[in-house]
Amino acid sequence: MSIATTPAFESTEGMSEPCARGLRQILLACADTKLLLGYHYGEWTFGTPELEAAVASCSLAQGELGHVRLLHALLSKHFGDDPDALMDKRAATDFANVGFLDRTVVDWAGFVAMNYVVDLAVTRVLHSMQGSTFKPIHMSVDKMLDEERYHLHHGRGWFRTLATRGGETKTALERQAELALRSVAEWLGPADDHDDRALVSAGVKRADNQTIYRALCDDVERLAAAVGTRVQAPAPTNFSGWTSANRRIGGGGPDEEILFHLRGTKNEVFKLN
Amino acid sequence: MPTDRQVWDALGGVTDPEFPLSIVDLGMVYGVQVEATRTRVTMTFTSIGCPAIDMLVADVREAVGALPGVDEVDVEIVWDPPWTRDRISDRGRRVLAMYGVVG
Repeated sequence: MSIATTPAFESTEGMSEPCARGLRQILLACADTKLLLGYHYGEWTFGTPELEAAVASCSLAQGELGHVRLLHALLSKHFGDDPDALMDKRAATDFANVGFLDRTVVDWAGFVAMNYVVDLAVTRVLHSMQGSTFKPIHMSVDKMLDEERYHLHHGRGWFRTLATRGGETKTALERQAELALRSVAEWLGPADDHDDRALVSAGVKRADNQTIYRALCDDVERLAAAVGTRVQAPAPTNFSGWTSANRRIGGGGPDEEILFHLRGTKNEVFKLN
Repeated sequence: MPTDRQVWDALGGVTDPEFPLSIVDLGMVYGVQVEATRTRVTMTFTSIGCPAIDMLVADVREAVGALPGVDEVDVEIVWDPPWTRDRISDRGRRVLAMYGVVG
């Protein structure tokens, strides 16, 4: 369905229930993933293979957290979500981020897989909302995509660098990229996600999540082949137990220790409000 | 009630913390609207993750709010059209060139 021929939405008023529900879930899924991306990028401000990468990690974190702020504002205005509660009051199992980010990213191959594969997955979802009939996202997505170009450039650059080194470096990269792709497949969900279809029918999204996943795989496989490596991650075929609220087949969520640091629990007494 | 020109001039005194330029020369102000004692400023930022958003919004409120006849200042933040370097004024480009930021 062409986005241009469908009516524009200034708010969720007039949307079907599955469409409004799907919109909240996908905005929250993007916000949660960006929140965890921001956390992990921030963690990698030190310990990178070179100082330049540390500076870049810091900048990537700032970008992601800015996008979280924007997405939380949309969730607040159109769905009544409290941004503070989204950060502080939810159980780990209520987070809808890409599961790859649930645990500490232990090595640089994991960082590169996160930066290239996971970051690009969220960007592809946002890209599918370019020209969206939901005007509030339509009015913000171009700026986010513009900023994400640098994230992708960084991720692809490091993927090339590690892949061409060969040996253990290449093997570790392949392994982490496959884990990341599998995790993203789970996050994007099953082909019969009714709410996702409703978003596409209403022109809120231009492409369904399966199409987005295939485009992401094409991107990763093409780059991998160009640098003499191979990344293959068949998508799950059985999505039983998957919900759009948690976006994981087996449930779960970010490690409590990660949430503790991310929320600033130990600094609660210093909060401004 | 101030004129649009007076509001723009006041905004010309609000300086970005990162560059030695006003938010007007940086092209961050998209419009002003004066209605009786209420003034609305529509503006953007160079990046969504800009850490100075709250500070600059406060500076805008203070600068415009100090104009005679202004009781209320609304600051609307927008991201469309996205800010790009093309929005920097000629004067701003000359200043940034002196600092080696923009050629």
